[in-house]
Amino acid sequence: MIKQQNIELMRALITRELKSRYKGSALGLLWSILTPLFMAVIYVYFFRMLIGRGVPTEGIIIGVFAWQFTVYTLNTGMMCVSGNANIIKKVPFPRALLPLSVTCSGLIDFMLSLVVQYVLIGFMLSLKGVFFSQLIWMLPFIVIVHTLYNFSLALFYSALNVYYRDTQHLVGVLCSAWFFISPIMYDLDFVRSKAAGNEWIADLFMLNPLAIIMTGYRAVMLPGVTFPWSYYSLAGLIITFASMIISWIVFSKLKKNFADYV
Amino acid sequence: MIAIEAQNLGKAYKLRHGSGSLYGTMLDTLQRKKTEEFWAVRHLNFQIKKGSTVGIIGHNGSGKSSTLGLTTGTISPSEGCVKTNGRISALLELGAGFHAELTGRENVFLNAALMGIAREDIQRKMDAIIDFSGLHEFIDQPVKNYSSGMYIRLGFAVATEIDPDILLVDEVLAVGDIEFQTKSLERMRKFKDKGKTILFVSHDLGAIEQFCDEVILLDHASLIDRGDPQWIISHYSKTMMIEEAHDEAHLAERRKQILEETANKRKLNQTTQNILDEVPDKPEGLHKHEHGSKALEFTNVEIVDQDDLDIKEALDPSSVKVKINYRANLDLEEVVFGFAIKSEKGQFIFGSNSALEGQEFKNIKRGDASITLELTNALPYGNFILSLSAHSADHKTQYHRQEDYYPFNVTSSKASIKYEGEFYVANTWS
Repeated sequence: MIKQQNIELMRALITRELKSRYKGSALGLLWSILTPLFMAVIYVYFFRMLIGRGVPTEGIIIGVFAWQFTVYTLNTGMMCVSGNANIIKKVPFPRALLPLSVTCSGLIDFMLSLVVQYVLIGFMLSLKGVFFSQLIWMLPFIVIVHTLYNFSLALFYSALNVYYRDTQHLVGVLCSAWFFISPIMYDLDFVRSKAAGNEWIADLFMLNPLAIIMTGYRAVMLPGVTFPWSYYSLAGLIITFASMIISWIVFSKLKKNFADYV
Repeated sequence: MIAIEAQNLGKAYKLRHGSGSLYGTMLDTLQRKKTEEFWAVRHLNFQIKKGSTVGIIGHNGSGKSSTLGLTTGTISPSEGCVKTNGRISALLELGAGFHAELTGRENVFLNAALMGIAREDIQRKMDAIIDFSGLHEFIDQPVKNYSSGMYIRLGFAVATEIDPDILLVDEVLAVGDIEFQTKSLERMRKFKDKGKTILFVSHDLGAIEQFCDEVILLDHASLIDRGDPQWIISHYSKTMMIEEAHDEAHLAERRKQILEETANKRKLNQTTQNILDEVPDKPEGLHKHEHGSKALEFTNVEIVDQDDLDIKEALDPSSVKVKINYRANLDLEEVVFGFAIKSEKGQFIFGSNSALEGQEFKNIKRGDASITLELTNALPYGNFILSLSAHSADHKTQYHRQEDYYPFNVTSSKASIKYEGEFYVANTWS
């Protein structure tokens, strides 16, 4: 099923992705760590200015790093078919390798940033005299779900963008909304405290796959954070997997006419 | 063996009148506008034998590139199918997969991976690729710094070095300097010698003519004609000179009309007499193929001498008899039979047909029958090839034509003597 030549092609495409992204920049791959780091610093700093003490700094760092991975695969992945018109038109190869290679190169970046994140959060937790959650061994599983979900986003929007170029503009707008309705700069406790009396609002948040993933990361890394198991979070998990399957079906259906429309 | 086979191949594009935007599509759907279909190619049937070099010509928009795209597999057919046998490498827009930020070497790996070549394989061929492209000192530079010539040289080197079974070439030899053009033509020729199949699309009719064994003429999405390059090209180029039409649409219409006319004319003109005028001596002029409506078809052909002895066995035959069994699949008013003989080198020796000889074959009834062609032997010792044809009296329909189909030999008791010349003229000295 997975042919040797497809693996070679994946390797070449990922190399291309990584090399072309940082070619000519002095810091190179370091940017994959620096970008989320700077963003985390900015968010934490301004949040403190706005809200004062009590900002979940570790949670924001986890959220921003994970968001970077998603937003990268979404934005780059969305363009990966329409932006490679030249090879789509000239060479027959498994089309799914394009979004897959984008996801994989995003994953490589994310893994690097995860190391930095681990050190950083470990340091901050030790200042408070605590250590990582005992569930930290489950981190790889969250990463796998997160990666698969990102891959499905890349599949879905890359296919859609071939047919409707509006997609790329629409996604830009939706992305900024998504950033705010996902628990990235806040956590669900914050939502619950704000929506006192209307607990169901916090429950609805869990229908968002990113909320599942973000909360999952925090639950396995930070001590004292638990994953809020409920029918809603279960539904959110099902939505996450269902959207992966739907994306795959959509991509498979649309891919055969890519060369006509790119 | 067949390298490429197209069966009722067709590709339709939907013409979108709106902007192609989400809004436009929604609007169209709401207003129930029907999308129009445009057939880039349709009802395409052809077979390309392994080892042959076939050119595809036609006006812009006649479906050439779609045909190549369908053969490569990048575009999926809307109708029918195309089967290919062996690894395909497409020289369509050389260096198409190159990424500007990567170096030449990195791009070679990427390009090879796209074509499904193992990294080790391409590693081994790297030196040859660099040599051919002549990019020695530039191979580790990003290709964005390359000149367009360097770009193309590298693209060509990769595409041909990976040793495909089928090579698809689209308008690429027109680029590059003379030296590169010569080099690439030479490489294509080597491919040909190795028995690889080449499908060649170009507007450069000269290159097609000198390079291809056969030409396919496309116009308005359909296959108009197929056959000897010289023939088809000479007629095709005439249509380029039409000036009588005023508007584009009319011009295209007129061109198609003329193309079809000439194609039909060619088919019926392929009686032996015309071959004499049209096909000059070509050492590589042998090309076995057959075509025709098969309203009447040759079923069995035997070549014997005057005593009905197989010509292989015969010594010094005084005549060569061709016993033709045929089957008429329809009742036919009149049939003209023709023949042609070529030397083993493809040199045309002689040809004629029943109408030219004043013989009539009328009221052919449906069913099997036979006919004998008797030739007074004037051939010198050697090998020859016979072509046969049957067509309608008004020259409109070619029933069956078997070109360069039946090889036979003439053995002489003076076998050791190799006569110069195409005929043996009986001579005695006294």
